[in-house]
Amino acid sequence: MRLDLSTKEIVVTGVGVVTPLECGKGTQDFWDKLCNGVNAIKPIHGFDVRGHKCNVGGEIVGFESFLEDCWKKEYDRCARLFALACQHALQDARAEQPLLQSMGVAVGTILAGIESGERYMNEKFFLSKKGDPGLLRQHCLHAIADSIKKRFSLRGPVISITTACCSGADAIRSATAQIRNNRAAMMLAGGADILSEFVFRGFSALNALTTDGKVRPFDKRRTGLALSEGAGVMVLEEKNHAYKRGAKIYCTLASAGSSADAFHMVRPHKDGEGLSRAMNNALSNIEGTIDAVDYICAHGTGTQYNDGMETRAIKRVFGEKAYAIKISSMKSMIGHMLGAASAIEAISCVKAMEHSMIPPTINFEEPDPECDLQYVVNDAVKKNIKTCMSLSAGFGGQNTALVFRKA
Amino acid sequence: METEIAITGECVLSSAGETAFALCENIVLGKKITQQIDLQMYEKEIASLNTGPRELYRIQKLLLTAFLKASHAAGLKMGLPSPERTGIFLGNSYGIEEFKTEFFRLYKKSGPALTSSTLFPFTNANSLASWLAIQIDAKGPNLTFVGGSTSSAEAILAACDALVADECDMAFVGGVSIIDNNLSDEFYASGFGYESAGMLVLEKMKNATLANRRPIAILKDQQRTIFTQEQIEKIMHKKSVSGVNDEAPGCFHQDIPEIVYLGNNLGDNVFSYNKNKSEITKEQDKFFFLSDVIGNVFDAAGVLGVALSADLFNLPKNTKWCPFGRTQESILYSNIGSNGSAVKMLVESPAFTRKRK
Repeated sequence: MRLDLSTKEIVVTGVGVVTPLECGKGTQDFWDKLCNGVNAIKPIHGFDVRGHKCNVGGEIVGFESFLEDCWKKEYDRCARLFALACQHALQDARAEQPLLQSMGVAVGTILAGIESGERYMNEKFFLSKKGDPGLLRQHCLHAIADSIKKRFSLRGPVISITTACCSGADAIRSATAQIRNNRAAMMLAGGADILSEFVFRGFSALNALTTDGKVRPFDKRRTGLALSEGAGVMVLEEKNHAYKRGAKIYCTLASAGSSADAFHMVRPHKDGEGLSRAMNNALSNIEGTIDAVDYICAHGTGTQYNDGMETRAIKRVFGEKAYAIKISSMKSMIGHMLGAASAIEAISCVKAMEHSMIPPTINFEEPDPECDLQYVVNDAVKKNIKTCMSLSAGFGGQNTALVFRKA
Repeated sequence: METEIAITGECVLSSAGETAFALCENIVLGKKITQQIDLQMYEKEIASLNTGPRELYRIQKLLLTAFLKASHAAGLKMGLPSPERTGIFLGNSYGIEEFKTEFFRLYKKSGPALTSSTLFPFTNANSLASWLAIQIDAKGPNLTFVGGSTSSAEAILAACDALVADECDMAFVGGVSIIDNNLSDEFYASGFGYESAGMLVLEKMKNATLANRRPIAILKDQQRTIFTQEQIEKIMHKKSVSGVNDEAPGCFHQDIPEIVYLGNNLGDNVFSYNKNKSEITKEQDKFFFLSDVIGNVFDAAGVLGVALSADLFNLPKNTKWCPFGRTQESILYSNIGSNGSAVKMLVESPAFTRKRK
């Protein structure tokens, strides 16, 4: 029977990203720019931001030229971003038919086809039209996963999941459960979201956006986050399956943990109590990891609230050892990609282990006594990483931690 | 070692009452029921919880009422046994559309300073599960599935996975299908049935036994299958598709002694299971097509189907209507979404579980 606790080892055999850094050119280009501290946060051109305290974000320009032709019509921008990340990941994993027959897809997203949604709502409520049903279908939160399943003829589970900023990480977590429980041999898993006026208005109203044009995680003068867009996808499979087909194994997805703050709809628990429980849940599954973690890819939004909370959460879990762990936030360079953020950060952990390199937290100028851990600031650092952790925290008090280890 | 998941509490709120069976029975017997739930009768219970100064949205009231009823049914009168070990798993693909349209209208009409910061968080589909976690202090895993009509079935699957993997000791699994005037006619054109809010209380069988909570049904196994595009098109044109159960990962391969198919949504008329042929036709006796009776209940479908299975094991003797007779030992519930993704669950009667052992 199926309802058994499985001990299968899950490995990462392919990765793909689309971000404002490399605009779809490929994961290696993304990684090189990330380690060189390139800032992708620029003035927004996609919609009118006049009158807002923030006018910057991370927009992806020209990624369509890398997409297969079949995606260029009909599909929503968010689905296209995810599709390109899948293309890159599948190519990286050398996964073609007939492997796709036993593959599923798990997509984490917050607003998915909001581009189509905005157009639909505009037609319906402001142009007195009926509203194009095609737009409505693309607006559905499950439209991305459905499109991927259809394009790649996948026969495994098709999962759409939303857990705010943890969505991508939770899609990855959920994908491992499908493999462990024999529902799929391989999974495509990750997240996607776009930079829309809808989400910009919301974060602006919450006063969460940067007011000085820069994202400065863990810096005393941090003023907030910059919204961004992108997609990140991993190919996951069981270790023996990967060996048998001769796949390149990046690393093991050793463990994952999640928790809820049960505290506030927008603010995280100030002491990082919820996030620390997610970390503890992840670490409790594998022996010796508290001592072994040598890099944390932080959620690091650059808001006053988050960065202090995250620092306290890490200290709660690691105690004095927290001061020895290298920490960085890539949101300083690529902004906050919402449902995609945690997936792309997980992929950066994989790349960090592959290249023994920790990408920097740029724009860091003034240390904050509240954030006193060993942040990698302004320049990348060379380091052999054996175990690393990716953290995410989101609206509603969602928390997820993923732990990766060298295979 | 095999882990059995017990359903120790359930509620399916509809205008017909508080069980999935009541909804089906009322419709089958031709009783007149409204599409929308009359929330007035639950206002007192909702008010007993301190949910803050703001008037709750309708979807919040429905979810909270379903939670209260399911908890009560499970005998949880003094709060959660262990908040940090309690998870919430919700199907919520469409329940937030009203908030999205309201927020959109507001910002289109107003300048930057007038956009609502209180409404915006509710445009995220996970807001409902997070809000419930805050109300009941559930600090375990909190996952929202947005896969359309299979969303709450996905949530049940994820809850079982979390219980088996020891991520939580108790899981509340829910789904709400709400009547929303802002939603497009497109959704309703696909056969919207009845407003409903479902909630299941799941826990490991051994924990339920230790706590003296009586299981009303056992979740024995869950799997998934997927239809190919070609098969979906056949289904759409009411053509038969066979052999689905023999293909792809995620098929049942064990012998199940007695099966009652309780399908819903797309593909009801053709998809099936048979231990010998991997195919069942509608002519066979032990079938009940849920969507033929109640229409599409979107995010509530998965919970409603499993709750109905549990109801059927526990029917009182004087029940006027029963789809299968009363000998069933296990029920295969199959929930199929428009993308061809099917979630299947084998639900067993507690009496049969004991006998089998």
